[in-house]
Order: sequence, then C-alpha cells, then structure tokens
Amino acid sequence: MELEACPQRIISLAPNLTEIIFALGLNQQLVGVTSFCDYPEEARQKEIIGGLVDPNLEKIKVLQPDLILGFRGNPRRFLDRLYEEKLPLQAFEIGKTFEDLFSLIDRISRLTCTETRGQELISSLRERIKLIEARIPRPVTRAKVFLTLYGQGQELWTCGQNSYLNYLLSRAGLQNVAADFKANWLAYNPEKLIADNPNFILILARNRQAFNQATKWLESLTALRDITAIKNKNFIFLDENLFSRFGPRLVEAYEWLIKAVYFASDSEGK
Amino acid sequence: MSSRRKPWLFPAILALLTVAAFLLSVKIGAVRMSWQEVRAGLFSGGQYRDIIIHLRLPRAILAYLIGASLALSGVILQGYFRNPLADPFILGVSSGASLGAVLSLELGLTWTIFGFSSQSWLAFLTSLLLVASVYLISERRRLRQGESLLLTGIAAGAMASALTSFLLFRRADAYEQAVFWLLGSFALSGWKEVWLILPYFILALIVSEYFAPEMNLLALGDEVAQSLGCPVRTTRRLFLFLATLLASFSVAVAGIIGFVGLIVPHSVRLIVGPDHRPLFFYSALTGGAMLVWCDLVARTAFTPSEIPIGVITAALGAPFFIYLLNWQRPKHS
Repeated sequence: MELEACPQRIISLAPNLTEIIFALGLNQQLVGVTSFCDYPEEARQKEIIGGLVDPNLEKIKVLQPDLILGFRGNPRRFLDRLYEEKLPLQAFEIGKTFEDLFSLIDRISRLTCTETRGQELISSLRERIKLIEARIPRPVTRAKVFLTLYGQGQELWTCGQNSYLNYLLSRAGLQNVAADFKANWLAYNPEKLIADNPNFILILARNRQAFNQATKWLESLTALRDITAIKNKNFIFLDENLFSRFGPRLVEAYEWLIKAVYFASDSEGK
Repeated sequence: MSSRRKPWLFPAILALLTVAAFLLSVKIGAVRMSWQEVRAGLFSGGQYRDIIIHLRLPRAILAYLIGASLALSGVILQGYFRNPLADPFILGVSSGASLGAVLSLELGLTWTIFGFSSQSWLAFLTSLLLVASVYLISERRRLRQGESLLLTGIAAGAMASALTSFLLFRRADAYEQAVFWLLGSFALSGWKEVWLILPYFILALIVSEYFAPEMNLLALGDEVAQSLGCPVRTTRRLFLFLATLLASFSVAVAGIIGFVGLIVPHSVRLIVGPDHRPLFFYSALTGGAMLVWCDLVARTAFTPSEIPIGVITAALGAPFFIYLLNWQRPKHS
C-alpha cells in the first residue's frame, strides 16, 4: 500500500512496534496503542484500542488512522478485516536477529518520513552492540545455559532455535542447551536437562520476587539437584518485559544478559 | 475371555501388564540407558540415579495412583447414579478445580504449603466445595434425588466454567498459565505427590471394598435397599464423599485427565461382572495400569516433547472401549 503523505495518525497493534514509534520520535503522531503497550511511560496515556488478540475495530475506525502497524501475532482474521475495510494497515513479521530488528526499524521509519532518525537510531544501536560485545571475555567459553520462563504450570518452558532469545544467547557466546529444537517455545524434558547439565539457568520473570520464587521452586526439585547451575545457585534474573520486546530495547536486553553472565552484575534498575 | 472358566486369567494378565508398564516406564525416556544402567540406578546409584529414582519411578507410581483413583471414583459414581455415563467429573469436580486454579491466579496468590502451589490447593478446595454445595442443594428434594443431584451438578459445573471463562477473558496475561495448569502434566512430579495421595487412595479403596455389599443393594433401587436393611442415606453420602475426594485429589495434582474414569469401570464390569466387590478392586488396579501405559506413550512417542496425557487416554482407550462394548459378549448379565 502506498502512503501519499507522512502519516499523522498512527495506531500500533503491538508493544514492540509502539516502542519503535517512540524511538523514532513520533510521540505526537501516535494516537492508539494496545493495552499491553506499557513502555515508554507516555505510551500509557494513549488511547487503548484493545489487546493483542482482541483489538477493537470500532475504536480503530473512530480514531481515523492514516497508518496502522500490525504484526503476525495479531489474529489473521482481524488483519484481513482491516485490509477489507481498506484501512491503511502495514503488518510485520517478528524477526530473529539484530539485522531483522534494524530492517524493521528501517521500514517503519520509511513509512513515517523519519528515515534520518531511523538511520541514527540504527547506528547508535549498532555502536552499543559493538561496545558491549567488546567486553565479552576472550576466548569465548560457550558456557551451557538453560533459559526458562517461570509461571507456566509445573513445566520447564524454554526457547528453541527459532526464537530471537536463542539468537541473543548464542551471539553472547553462550550455548543454549535447547538450541537443537526448532520450535520457538517448548516444554523441556527434565531428563534431557539433567543430561545437558547447564552451568547457568536464566529465568525470565516478571520481577525479583517472582524470580526468587522460581529459584526456590527449582531448588525444591530433588531430581534436578545435581545440575551444576542449581548446585552452585547460578541463577540469572531476566526481566520478562524487557526480554519480550523485539524493539530498540532488545539491545538493552542484550547488555543486561552479557553483564549478568560475565560480570555477575545486578542489572536491575541499572 | 471367560472369567468363570478361567478365573485366574484376568488377574494374571493384569499383573503382567502392570509389571511390564513399570519396567518400561523406568527404562525408556529422553535419556537412553541400558538395563544394566537401570538396575544400577535403582539399586546402587550410578550416573542415572536421579533420573530413575527421582523422575521416572515417582512419575510412574503417581500415574498409577491417579489412574486408580479416577477409575475407582468413576466406578463408585456409576453405581451411585445407576447410570453408565457417570464419570469422576460429572458433578463438576473438574469445573470446580479449573475455577480454583484460575481464582488463585486472579487473586495473585503465590504461597505454597507442603510443597504444593496455591493453584493446586485452591483447585482442590473449590472442587470439594462445589460438590458439597451441589449435594446440599439437591438434598432438599425428597424424591428422585439422584436425578436432581446429577442435573444440579451439571448446572453448577456450567456456572463454574462460565465464571472461569470470564476471569480468563478479563486477564489475558493469566490465560496461558491457566491453560497449562489445566492441561496437567506429570513432567516434574516427584515423591511428595506420591506420598500425599497414597494414604487417601488406600483408605478410599479399603472403605469402598468394605461397603461394596451396600453398593450392590443400592443397585436394586433405594426402596428395596432400605427394606433389605441398608442405611441408604449414609451409604450414599459416604460413597459420594469418597468419589469426590479421589477426583479432587487427582485433578489438583495432575490436571484434568478424561476417559479413564469412564471406560475402565465399564471394561472391568464386562470381565468380572456387576458385583461391586471385585469391581471396585479390579477397576482401581486396571485404571492404574492403564494410566502408566498412557503416560509412557505420552512422554516417549515424540520424545523429548510430551503429548498431554488426556490425548492418549482418549486416543488409545476409546477404540478399545468401542471394541469391548460391541464385539465382546458380557458373560454376566
């Protein structure tokens, strides 16, 4: 779809897209967000058009957008409906690598007449990646790590090969024990985990308190007690909100990861 | 398969299947090992000790206990309602448990007692509470109490489900957690679950065996049973309590596993006949063995990922059940 002029009324259907829009300095132009868009703080003051899977068509129409940014996680039926209604929708894939992120930022900046700002953003992110990677101790040890999402029932959910989290881990010089599995997310087999014997367990949790609960829970599982990471209490807290946004803050997540693993620094609150 | 001519045949086959299920459950898993390594792990340690002693063995025993509890609960309720469609969840135990689990998420509860999460506890308590209120409400009716109880149970279950859906709808972020919880999983279950359930299960089995003759009388109808000296009201209450307790425990520990409580009692009835004494006993044992087999398939078919066990119980159990119902002539009727 060709856009004639620079969009003045933008609606975002995903939190990571909202973050990109703010990073491009389009605060004024953004008129609608989802209920999950909580970063930056100003995003909370925008009109809410519904959730990720249940955006409200009436709310969207009444805001008279001239650009709607959607993504693959929005229901297909809903996006199709927006097309049918001839609403100015642009839908994006969630990518896997930093290059995918940069191309996402680039495409959005082109759509919104902020190419210069977009290029600046991309090069500053590239610079930060270079700086933090220079701090990774050489030679790279490729420590075995297991990343898990706390709170999903009594199972060990982890990220497989197709996830951008796996990309971050491997780029940070770590070896994700679940990297052989194609899936984005999977419930990991505890027997495999014992056999893999990771050195670190990275826990995605809502906050410190949830993280502490998760470590207590893992330590209470008799079967897992001989795993190096658990025996040595090598648990690392990853902020779920930060690590779940495929936007400019992905670089911040990457910095957090590297600092936590190699410098045992408590990245919370920075 | 005539159990009249060869009364030892069914127990022998069952024993064989049970032993085989346990041996294979301890042997097969995501991590491959030889029989020697399994034996070493069981009796003398070795590198796979934790996998065998703290993952595979408690998991198989727990699956056995849950299967046995569900089958016993189902056979009790089928006798209680004199209705072949009755199963452990007919009075709303599963809907009550779901509501409890979701309620715990909604309230943001995060405590654990005896190593069990607030979700499990609330699921257990809500399901007991739901059945208790269903019972108290329907008891007001004098005639055809069984029917009233059944329908009240179904209605209350629907209400609980509606409330669950509403809470889930309002809290999109809790949705996934709740769904995973409800699907249930034995993946990380250990000895503490086994020790929690074992005493209740054994007690329930002994009590129901003891009162099995009364259940036989109830099968003749309440009036006849009363005239033959059976304390109908007390017996009914007792059995309802036992069946609900078994079902609630199972749901709280393992999630909702359908079908075992329905088909095992029927299948066993076709083999051992309608007398509740052998029926209770063999239903429990068969249910246990069946769930160990199903769990084995669930965790090994697509290793290292697991299929929800309810999928297996239905996929394997249903065809067998249809065969039994339609091709096997009952010997006791």
